[in-house]
Amino acid sequence: MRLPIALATAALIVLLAQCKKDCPPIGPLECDLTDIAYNPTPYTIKKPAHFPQIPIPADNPMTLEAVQLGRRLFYDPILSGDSTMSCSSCHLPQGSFTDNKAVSTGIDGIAGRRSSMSLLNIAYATNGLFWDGRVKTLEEQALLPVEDPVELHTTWPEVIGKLQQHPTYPGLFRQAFGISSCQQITKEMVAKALAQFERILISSGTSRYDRFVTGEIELEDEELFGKLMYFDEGQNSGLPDAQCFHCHGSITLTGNNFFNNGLDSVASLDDFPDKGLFETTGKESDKGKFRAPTLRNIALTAPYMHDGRFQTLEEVMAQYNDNGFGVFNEDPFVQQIGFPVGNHYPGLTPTQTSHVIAFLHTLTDTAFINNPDIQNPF
Amino acid sequence: MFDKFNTFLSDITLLKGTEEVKLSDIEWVDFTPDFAPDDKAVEVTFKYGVPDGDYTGLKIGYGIRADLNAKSPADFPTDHPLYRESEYWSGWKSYIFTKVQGKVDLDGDATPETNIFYHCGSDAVYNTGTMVQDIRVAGDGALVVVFDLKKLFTFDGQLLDLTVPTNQTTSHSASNIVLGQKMMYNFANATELK
Repeated sequence: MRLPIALATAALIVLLAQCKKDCPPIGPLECDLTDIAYNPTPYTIKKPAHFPQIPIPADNPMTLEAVQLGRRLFYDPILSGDSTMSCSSCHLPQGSFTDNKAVSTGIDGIAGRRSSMSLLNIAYATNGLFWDGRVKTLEEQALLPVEDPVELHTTWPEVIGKLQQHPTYPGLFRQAFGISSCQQITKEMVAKALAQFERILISSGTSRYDRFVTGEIELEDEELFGKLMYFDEGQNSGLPDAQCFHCHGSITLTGNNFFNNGLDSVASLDDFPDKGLFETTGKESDKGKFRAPTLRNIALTAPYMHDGRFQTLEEVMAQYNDNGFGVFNEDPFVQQIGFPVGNHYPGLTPTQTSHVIAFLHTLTDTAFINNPDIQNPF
Repeated sequence: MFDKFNTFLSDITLLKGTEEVKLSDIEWVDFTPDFAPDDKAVEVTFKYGVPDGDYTGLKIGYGIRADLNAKSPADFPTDHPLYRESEYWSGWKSYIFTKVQGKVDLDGDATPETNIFYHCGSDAVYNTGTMVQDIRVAGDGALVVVFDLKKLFTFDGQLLDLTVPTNQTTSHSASNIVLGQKMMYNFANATELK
């Protein structure tokens, strides 16, 4: 009869020993962090010289400590309800920070309704994030997946509790944000750190297209023809307009705007299975519109469209070559691809299509996805 | 029915005889409505501080003057109107000064079905307009500048014939820059100081 008591006592001792090593005291946290130095190091984001300046919000200045904290949080499943998923579960470097799935699945195995968007150059997206533009800033965006039941499915109090009791994070928050105790960790700090990490996800500037833009190399003929069609610059070369740049223009190859790009034939705007931007704005004209993603690294981010309906770039181009369905708010440029035959636009020829795809492949930036500064630190 | 109307305005300047008081080097104005009926105005407000006094008119540049248009979004800070990448076209090496898009009903069934879009840019289409009018500034007040899209589409007293396919669009093609130029030059006629 004495043996079970002895075992129970031994087990209790072991638990106490573990807590002495790794855990804060049970009960109200009184974690003083002021012994840890708070000397944040200003961080300058590396960007190609031909890229625009990166907007940084005044209330979240870039520091090395916050970027490193954000990177750790981004890859840490501590942000999910069952500690199985992190931001990186749906945004992996090798997929240019997508998950290469049609739609993403959360910790409960429930599929979401949209595909994860690439985070490449997301720092430039100041006109609404997510496919439907429902938040304006990376800081706001970072708050949402944690509590989304089809994503990380937990609560912020639970996450904050885990971070406060973690052996490493309180010190990292101290170094990044100057807090003096564990209890001062907030979800806003988590979001700020994540946003800072996401802001460094910038192109390397070494894709074939970038090296062409900066005059380092010439493109192959088929790539160049594709580029001329992509940017509607081919009139003098006898090439038709592919009209791509109207939605995927500028150096980042997205204007960060929202379009109905002619995917669905619907009788009325109310019939879109996913109403996209309308869910954010409530504007009739925004039904079925979605944010045009960057086409940089597009060859790495299949499947395509907000619902991942296309597996290949060839399928995407075939869709566009059909020139839309004439839905009321369809972007007009979707309906005018190729040389017109009378009032009809037949799309690009197979050869022209292959040239546009060849150009899209020049946008592949392997140096970005292999950048050691943005990989999983664990 | 218009679903996009935005434009750059340069050198917005109050006139005081031969004196000029510049209010702004450059602004980007987005009048994009939500399927607004043609007669529904979209209002955009800018605030400037100016000395009290009597002024004689307002001058506006329609588009972007050449020295600024020679730059690109990478040359501007993030809060500058010309940082706007979506309004730059590398093929022109120019900003897109104005985008006007919408649909018109050409088949008479009361439902607009035909796309019209006018994306105008390049130094060749930049122009200025002056509205001569007495303007008294004393304390807070407002100048109301009205852009009338119907007038933008009216040339020599005639509404642009939108049944003609070549009148329905101009985006970038050099062969159609004449229409873009006409439209940009028509901005002065379509602008009124209230």
